[in-house]
Amino acid sequence: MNPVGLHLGPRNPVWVVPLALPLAIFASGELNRALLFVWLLPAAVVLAHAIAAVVEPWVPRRLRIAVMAIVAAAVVTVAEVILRRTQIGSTSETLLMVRLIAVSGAMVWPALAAHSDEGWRVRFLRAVGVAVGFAVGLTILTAARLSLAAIGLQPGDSVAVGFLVLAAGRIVVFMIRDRRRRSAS
Amino acid sequence: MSVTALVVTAVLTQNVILAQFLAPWPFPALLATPRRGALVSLALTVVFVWSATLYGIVYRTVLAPFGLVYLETITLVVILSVSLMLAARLAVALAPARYRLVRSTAPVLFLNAAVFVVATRLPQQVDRFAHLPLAAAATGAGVFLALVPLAAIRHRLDRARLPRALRGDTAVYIAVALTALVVQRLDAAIAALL
Repeated sequence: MNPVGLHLGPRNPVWVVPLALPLAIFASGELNRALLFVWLLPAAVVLAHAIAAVVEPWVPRRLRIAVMAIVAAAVVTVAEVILRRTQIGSTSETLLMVRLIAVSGAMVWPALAAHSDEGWRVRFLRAVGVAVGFAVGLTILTAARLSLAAIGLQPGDSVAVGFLVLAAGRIVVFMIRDRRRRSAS
Repeated sequence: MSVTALVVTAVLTQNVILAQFLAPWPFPALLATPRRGALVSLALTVVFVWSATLYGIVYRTVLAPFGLVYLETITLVVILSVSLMLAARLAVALAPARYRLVRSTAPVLFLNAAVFVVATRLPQQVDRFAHLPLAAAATGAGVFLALVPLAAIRHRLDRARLPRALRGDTAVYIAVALTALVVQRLDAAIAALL
């Protein structure tokens, strides 16, 4: 399976391999926050890895994670300044969460998981996969939490319910995987 | 803020994991066993103290006086990245056999949400610079108090005769959700008392 398909389903960064758990829990509690993070995190991850792919051949291999993190921080700083100027997501809590994109697993993991002989295309595809997988996973998580809140379950947007919805999602993923395995054998 | 209030706030009411849910990634993997939970908490405490102190110096001498607070993300990430490289170097010098382990875990310890928030918030919250390492260590104690019981619950649930779908990460999420409800109630009770 290609990296994009892999992170959309079997290794989804929200539902299966939690790479940005605090961001997913925070963003999925409210529609406006979800709308912001569903495009901002994927855009920041893809842009940072694209820039890092250009910079990294010029630095020693052992410095790659550090370079990746600094490039990500630069991208997030620019995004934060733009958000402040345009008054989008202007609460201090939202801006703090935007800053956390730079050190989230979704940002760092595509570089950390790279093999020493891996080409930049594979890694870039992995970053795109994580970004798209996060957007899809966050959309489903937000829809589930906000639906629970809409039908009258008052703490539907609380952190506890967020984790319970994630647990329920994992059970569904496990059941689908189990059924596929059985039908294959 | 008094030292006692600072420690109680960092350990309990503003607990990085249980109250703010700024769990390091990959969160469920850190809770595989109580021992791993304890080791990760101790390592995170060292990183909290180191990064909060270094960032505190830069924040109070450069960023705040010159109005460069908007550069705090990149400043902190540079500090964390340099620290990460130093930790890897130190590991090569002190324990070459464990170099691979350090190389794979160090990025997780230095580049995560909890370290970022602790290092950026404490210099703004703590009045006296001398209290900064203490507050950072207290935050680490709060992480220890959160991770070790959660790891123990996970370990116990993994050994219980639960359906396979409920084991592993699913058990972690359920444990965290229940703990979150308890902390929410505690917060409300403390607020009512105050």
